[in-house]
Amino acid sequence: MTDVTREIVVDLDALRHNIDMLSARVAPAEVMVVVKNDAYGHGLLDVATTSVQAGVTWIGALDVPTALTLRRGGITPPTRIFAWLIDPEEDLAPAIAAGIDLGISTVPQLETAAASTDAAAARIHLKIDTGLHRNGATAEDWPRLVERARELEQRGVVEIVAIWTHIAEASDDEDTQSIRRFEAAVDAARGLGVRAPVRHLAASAAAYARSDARFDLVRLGAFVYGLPPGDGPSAEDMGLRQAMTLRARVTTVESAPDGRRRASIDLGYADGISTFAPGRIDVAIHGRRRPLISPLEVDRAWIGLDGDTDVSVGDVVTLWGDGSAGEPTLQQWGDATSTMSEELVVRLSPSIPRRIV
Amino acid sequence: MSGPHELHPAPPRRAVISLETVRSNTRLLLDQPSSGRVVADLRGDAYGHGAAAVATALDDLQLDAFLVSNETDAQAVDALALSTPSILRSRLVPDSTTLLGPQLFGLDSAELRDPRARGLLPALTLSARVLSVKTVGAGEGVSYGYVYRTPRATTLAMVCLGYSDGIDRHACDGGRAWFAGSTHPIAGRVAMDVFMLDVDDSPVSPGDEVVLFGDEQHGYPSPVAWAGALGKTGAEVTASLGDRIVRSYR
Repeated sequence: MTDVTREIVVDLDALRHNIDMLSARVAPAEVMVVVKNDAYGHGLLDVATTSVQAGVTWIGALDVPTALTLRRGGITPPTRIFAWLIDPEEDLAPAIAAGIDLGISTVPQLETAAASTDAAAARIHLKIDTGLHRNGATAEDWPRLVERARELEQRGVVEIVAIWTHIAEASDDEDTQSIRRFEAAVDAARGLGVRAPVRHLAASAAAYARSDARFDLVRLGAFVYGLPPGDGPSAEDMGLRQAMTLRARVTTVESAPDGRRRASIDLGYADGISTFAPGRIDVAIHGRRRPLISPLEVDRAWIGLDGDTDVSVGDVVTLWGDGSAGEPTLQQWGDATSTMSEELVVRLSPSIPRRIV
Repeated sequence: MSGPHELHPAPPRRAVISLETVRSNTRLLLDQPSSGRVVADLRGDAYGHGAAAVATALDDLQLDAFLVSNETDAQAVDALALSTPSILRSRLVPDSTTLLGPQLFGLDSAELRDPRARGLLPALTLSARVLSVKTVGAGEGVSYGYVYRTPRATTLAMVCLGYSDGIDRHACDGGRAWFAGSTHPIAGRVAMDVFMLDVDDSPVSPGDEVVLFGDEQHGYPSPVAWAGALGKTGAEVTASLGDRIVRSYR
C-alpha cells in the first residue's frame, strides 16, 4: 500500500489464469466474460481489456449504458458485447448502431429493437424462461416471439444471433429439467426457421460442472474473479485464483471502554462492509488472524488485538484475499456472513481506491 | 455499490430525498435541550442522502459543525462556502458534543430505535421501475434456489434493483415492497440486479414504479421496518445504497 488508508488490489494475472483454465475446461464452447457492476467491483475496462487480450470474444455487459461505455473504452468489433437488462422506455438505437447484442424476452422489446434500426440489423438473443421465472418468454409465448422475430429477420431489421436462458441452480434435477426445456425451445425455433443460433444457458457453476449445460457459449462472471459458491470446494481446489484483495491501514490503536486493546480501520458499512461481519470473521495483521469486533460504524471497523502489543498505526490489515497473507478468502467471508462472495464485492464503495497489479 | 460515475443509470432506480423533511427533523431535534456543541453527523455521505445537499439545506440552522468521513467529503462540503464548518472525527470532542446523525433523516440507530415516536420522519423514498411482468401458475419456484414458491397462480413483476444496489439477497425473507396501493412479498432471492415482486392479481405493466421504503403515511414500508426485517438499522440500509440509484431532491 502507498499512502492510502484503504485499497482494493486487483491481480490481473489471477484473472488471466482463471480465463485460461475455464476456457480450456469448457471448450469447444466459447466463453463470455461478464463484467456487470464494474466487473464485480474489479474495474470494468481493466477486466474487459484483459479478457479480450486473453482471447475472449464475448463480453457480458448487463445493460446498454455499460455496453456503450465498453465500446467507447476500446472494446470494438469483432468482440461481441451482450446487454440483456432492457428498460421498456430505453432508446436502443445507439446500442444497435454500436453493434451491441441485445437480450430479448418479449414481443414489445422486439418491436422496439426493430424500430430502432437504421443501417445495420439489430443483433438479438431470444430468451426462453426455463424455470427461473425472471425474464424470458414462457413456453406458451415462445412460438409467437420466434415467429415475429423471423418476420423481422426476413425484412432485414433484426438478426437472430442466439437463443438463451438462465437456470436456477436449485438442484441438479431442476437444472436438468431446465436444460430439457431449453433444448425443446431451440428445436421449436429451428422448426420456425431459425438457422444455427448460438445457444447459451450456463453461468459459472453449471459451466464448470456440467458438460451438458455448456452448449455453444457459457457466461462466466463469479469464477473469472475466482469466486466459487459458498459451502463447497475452495477456489484453490477448483484451480481458480481469487483476484481481489481488500486491505486497510490501522488508523488508531486504543483501549476500548472495557479495557481491551483494539485497532480501527477506515472501512465501515457505508463502504460496503457487511454489518453481519463483526464477531463472525477474522482478518490478518502481520500474518496473524484477529477478530473484527463490534461496533461496525458507518465509516470505521474495529479489530480486537487481545494480547497483541506490536500492532501500531499504519500497519496493514488484510480483510480478504487469496489467503497468502494469512487472511480469509471471499468464499470464507460469504459463508461467515450468510451470503455469497459476489454480494460482498459488488457492494464495495467506488470511493475505495483500486490498484491494478 | 458499483459502477464508475460515467455510467448513466438506465433503467431507473431512484432515491427521492425531501430536504424539507431533513430540515424539520433537525429543527425538532434542536428544540430539545442539549449541552455543548451540536454537530450534524453527515458521515457516509450523510447516510446515503448526499452530504453536500444536506449540508446546504441545514446551513442556516445554527449547527456548530458538519462531521464528515474523510478529506474528500470535507473538501466537497467546504467548496460550498457555507457558514457551518466541516470537521473530521479527529477534531470531535465526544464528551462535550451532541451528535445528530441518523435521526436527522428519520432513521433508527442503536441509540434511537423508534424515530417516528419522536416525530422524526423518513426523508428518503427508494423506488425502481418494473422492467417486465409475467403470469405463472401455482407452486412455481422463483429465482435462484427456488426458495420462493408461488402460493397460487399469480403475476410476477421484475424490478430493477438488486443486491449490487444495496438490497440484501435475503430481503425475500419477509421483505415486502409497495405497488399500486398495497405491499407485496419479494418473491425469491434478490439477484445482483433485479428482484421479483409477487403482485398477485394487481394489474401491472413494464414501466410501473415499485416503492421499497419511504414515509408510511403514504402506505410505503418505513425504512425502519424494512431494515428491521433484515436485522439492520435504517441508517445501515440507506448508507450502503449503491451508486446506480439516482438521487434527487425535493
